[in-house]
Amino acid sequence: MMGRSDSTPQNVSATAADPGEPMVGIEGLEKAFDGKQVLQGVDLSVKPGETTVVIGRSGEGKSVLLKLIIGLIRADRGRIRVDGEEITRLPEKDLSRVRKKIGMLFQGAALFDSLTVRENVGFALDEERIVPGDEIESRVVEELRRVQLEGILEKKPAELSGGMKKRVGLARALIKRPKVILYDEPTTGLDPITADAINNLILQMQKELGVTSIVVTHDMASALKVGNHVALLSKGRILFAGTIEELESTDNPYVRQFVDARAEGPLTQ
Amino acid sequence: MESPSGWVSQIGVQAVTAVGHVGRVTVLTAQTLQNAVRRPFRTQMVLLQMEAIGVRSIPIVFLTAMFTGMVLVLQTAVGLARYGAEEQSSGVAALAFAREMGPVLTALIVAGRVGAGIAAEVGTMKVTEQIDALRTLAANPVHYLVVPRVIAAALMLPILTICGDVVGLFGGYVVGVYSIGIPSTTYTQIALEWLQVRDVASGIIKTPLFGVIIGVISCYHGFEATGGAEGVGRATTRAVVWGSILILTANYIQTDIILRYTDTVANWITRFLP
Repeated sequence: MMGRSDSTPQNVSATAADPGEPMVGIEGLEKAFDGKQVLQGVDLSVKPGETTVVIGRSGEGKSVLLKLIIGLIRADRGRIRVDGEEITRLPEKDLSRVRKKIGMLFQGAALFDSLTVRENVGFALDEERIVPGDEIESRVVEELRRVQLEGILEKKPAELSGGMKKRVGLARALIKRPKVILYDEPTTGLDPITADAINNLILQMQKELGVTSIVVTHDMASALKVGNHVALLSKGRILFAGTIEELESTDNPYVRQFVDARAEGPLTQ
Repeated sequence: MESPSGWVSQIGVQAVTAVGHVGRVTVLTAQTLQNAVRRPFRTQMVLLQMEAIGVRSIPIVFLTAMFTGMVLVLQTAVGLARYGAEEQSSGVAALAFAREMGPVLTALIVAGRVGAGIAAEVGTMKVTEQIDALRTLAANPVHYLVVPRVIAAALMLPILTICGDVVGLFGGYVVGVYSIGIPSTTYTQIALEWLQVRDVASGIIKTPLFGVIIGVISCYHGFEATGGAEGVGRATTRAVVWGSILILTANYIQTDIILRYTDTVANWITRFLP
């Protein structure tokens, strides 16, 4: 692991020292919007079955990073490999195939307002039109049970609480049996008890299904609970990457300011 | 006061923005046509949209057609009375309504009611990341959202126009007979003398394109929405304004083409009729 406690901005890899092909590998990723450089050369490597938490202040490009990984937006420069396949230059029709390996839980859950919970969760299977209807039904019930929700099949998203929406969103992402799950601010806007329940679900998915997870958050309690590795994204780069223990013991001033929740420091200069 | 170079630069920026919009609308239209013939065919979604776009527009279309038909006869009767040809107002009104007023009014009403609804729905989906979610679930947003709405609008506009024509002509009849005092048989006879099948057909034939315009423009502005509720509001307004402008433009172009080639086509058809 390079520059783990270095105080100068540079790119480091969460598992750079680990051998083997990463499930998600990012090299020199750059992205700008309307002339504003959001990502300026991000390197990140996530091993299969591990959970990497990307922390950082709001507006630093954490959600952009997730959307780049799932191919919702295109990178200006750099490479992204998912499950051994380079996706950065893939045409849209091939990206659809890659997206079947990746599930995403959006910040606001992004459930389809006009559809019921049953239709939301079963959406990906309905679209494929391969799986028979009764099997879709049983898979929907199974995934909802996995996220500890039952008896809400006919409800519309507007009738659900914030925590329930996130669980339904997770069930919708899980029904594809993805190899990678991307969580965009999974605990934002939830009360501490519901947030902890969501954290438990993230851990449960890793344990039960062995999925690789990338969690974007600024909630340190969540990061410390669910992460195997943590990466700090700021000023368009990964300024720190390491294990939870390394995060807690580092004297990296960027990390210290973020973890100690101080308004003054190098992150705000 | 802004310098001339500032004005020039402003015009340049506006021109580039306009070209960008035209390009993206063209691409969306092409994608819509391409996806319309791609499986799976979403028949149930098309039927649901036909209900939302067509059936629920009937009250406002009927109301508008009725009063427009009434006022049309009222006004033409005033003008024609100066030449002692008051009863001819039934024919003038019937012709105007079937050829122009019916199709254009119906399309503008639907653009206002349905276009705003589609733009608001798609725009809300955009700002709440539902469209991103569609793509992560390997669904094509054009196939899922745009195609059913465009097909439904293209199918429902002719039906609404026919209904609007009938109601408009009835409204004219009520005013012509009961307010102006034209005898019922005279009114009907003159209207039928003036009105030919080709007049009605030339109006209706223009309407599927109006439906396509409403569907594509409304979805486009929905897709372009950014920045929460304010952005959705802007998208809604733009969808109605640009939908209406394009309907009026397309109406002129289609009318010009129809007037140039109606006789040729009619002669060609009659040659093959027994």
